[in-house]
Amino acid sequence: MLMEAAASGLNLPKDVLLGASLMHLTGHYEATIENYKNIIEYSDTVLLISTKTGKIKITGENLEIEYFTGDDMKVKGILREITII
Amino acid sequence: MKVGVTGLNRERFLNLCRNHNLNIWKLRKKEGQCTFYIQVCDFRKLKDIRRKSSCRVKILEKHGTPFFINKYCKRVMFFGGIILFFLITYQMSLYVWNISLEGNYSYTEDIILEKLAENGIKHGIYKSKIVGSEIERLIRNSYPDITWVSTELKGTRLIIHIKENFDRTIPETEEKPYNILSGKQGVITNIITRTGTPLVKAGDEVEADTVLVSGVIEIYGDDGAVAATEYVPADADIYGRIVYPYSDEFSMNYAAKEYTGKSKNAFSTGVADSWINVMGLPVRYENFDMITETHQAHLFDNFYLPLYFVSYKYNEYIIENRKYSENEAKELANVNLERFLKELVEKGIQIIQNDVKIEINDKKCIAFGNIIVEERLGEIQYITDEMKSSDNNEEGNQDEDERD
Repeated sequence: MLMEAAASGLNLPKDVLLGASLMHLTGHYEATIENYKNIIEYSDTVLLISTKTGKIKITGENLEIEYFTGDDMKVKGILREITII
Repeated sequence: MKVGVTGLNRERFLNLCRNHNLNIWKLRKKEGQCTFYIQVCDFRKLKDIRRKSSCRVKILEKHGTPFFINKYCKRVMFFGGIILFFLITYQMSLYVWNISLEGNYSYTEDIILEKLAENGIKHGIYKSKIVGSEIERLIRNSYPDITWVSTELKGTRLIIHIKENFDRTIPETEEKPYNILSGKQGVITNIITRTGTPLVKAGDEVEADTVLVSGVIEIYGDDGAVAATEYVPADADIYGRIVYPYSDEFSMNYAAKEYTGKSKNAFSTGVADSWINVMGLPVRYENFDMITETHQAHLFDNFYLPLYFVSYKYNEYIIENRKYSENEAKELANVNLERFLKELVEKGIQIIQNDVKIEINDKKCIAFGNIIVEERLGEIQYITDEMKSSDNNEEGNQDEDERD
C-alpha cells in the first residue's frame, strides 16, 4: 500500500517499484508479457504464469510461445480470455 | 536445432531453461510433446535440466553449416570436382579456341588462317599475346586487295572483320612518275585523260607494250621549242575492245559415280589436336564420298572450348564408264563457257560478242572461238632516270637536226 502510494505520488514506474507485470496485446493474436516469475502450466489451450503480484491465465486456441527469456515472453495464437488471478 | 521434450514436468523443464538463460523460441505443444528451437551451444547445457525435471529430450531437426559439413564430409570429392571444374573453365578461358573471319570473298578462310598460323596466331594461343594492330597490319600487308581489317576478341573467339577492294583503278597515291601501258592487245574505244600526255585515241589498235598515256609533259616556249619537261604519274580512264581466245576440250567417254544407296555414319571426338574414333570407323567401301561435319563445343556464343565432335557420312558408289550424248556434251560445253564468261563479268569486264562454236566427234567435244569484250586497260610503267636521259638525248638530236 505504502509503495503503491509512493509510486503514484512521486510518479515512479510501478513495474520497477511494485514488481508489477507489463502486458502488451496486439489484437487477440499476440500478447507480450514482461516481469513474470515462471510458467505454471502450458498447453495449446491454456497458459498459466505466475507473477510477483499473482497469476495470469490466458486461454485460447493454438497457443504458441514465440520466445521466452528471463525478461519477457511472447504468446501467439487465438486469445480468448485473459484472467488476472 | 529443433528439439522435442516429453515427460510429466515439462513446465519445470521450461522454467529451468529460463533460469539458466537458455535461448528458446517457437515453443509449441503437439501430441503430448513440447517442441522448440534451441542453439547447439545451449543444447549441450540441457543435460542437467533433463535430469532434474525427469524429461526426455529428442532431437527432431538439425540446421546450420556445421551439420551440412558433417553430412557431406565423405563427399569431399564431389565438391572438389565442382571447384576443379570452375578452375579448368577459368584456365580454358585464358586462351583463344576459335578464329573466325567475316567479310572475306576472294580470299578463303583457310588461306588467311594459314598466313596467321605462320606468324604464330593460331588456335590455343594465349589471349594476352594477341596484339590486334599487328594482326591488322600483317593481313593488310600480305593481301593488297584487303583495304580494311579490324580484330575483335570476344570470350575465347578471335573475330577478324575484313573489307576487300573490288575496284581495279590505278592507285593514286604514287608520287613517282609513270606511263600507262596497254597491257593487252586490242582497240581503244574510249580514253579520258586527267594527267599526262595521251598518245592514242579511240579507234587506235594497240599492242601490250604500247604507251597509251605518257607521264612526260613537254612545255613549249613561245618559239615552239620544248622549254621544259615535266614528269608526272599519268592518270586516265582507258577502255578497249579485247579479243579473248577461248578453247575447251573434253572426252566423250567419262567415268560416272553411281551411288549404291549404302551409307555409313561414323563419329570421332578430340581435344585440341588429339583425336579418338568413337564409333563407325574404319569404313570398308572400295569407293566412297565422305562428308565431314565438325562441331566445336562452346558455352553461350563466344566461349569456345578445345573440344571437337566430328561426324562422318560415307556414301558408297561404283564407277561406271559412260558416254555423253550429243545434247549432254553440248550442255556441258555451254556450262563451262558460262562459267568462264561469269568470271569475266565478275572482274568488271563487259562481254560484247561471243563467237564460240562447239564441235562434237566420236571421241571428243571441242569448244573454240573468240570472245570479244570491252574492259578497262592500264599497266604502270615507272619512268626511270635512264628513260629520262634518253628522252633528253632525243630532244637534243632533234634540235640539232632542225638547226642543220
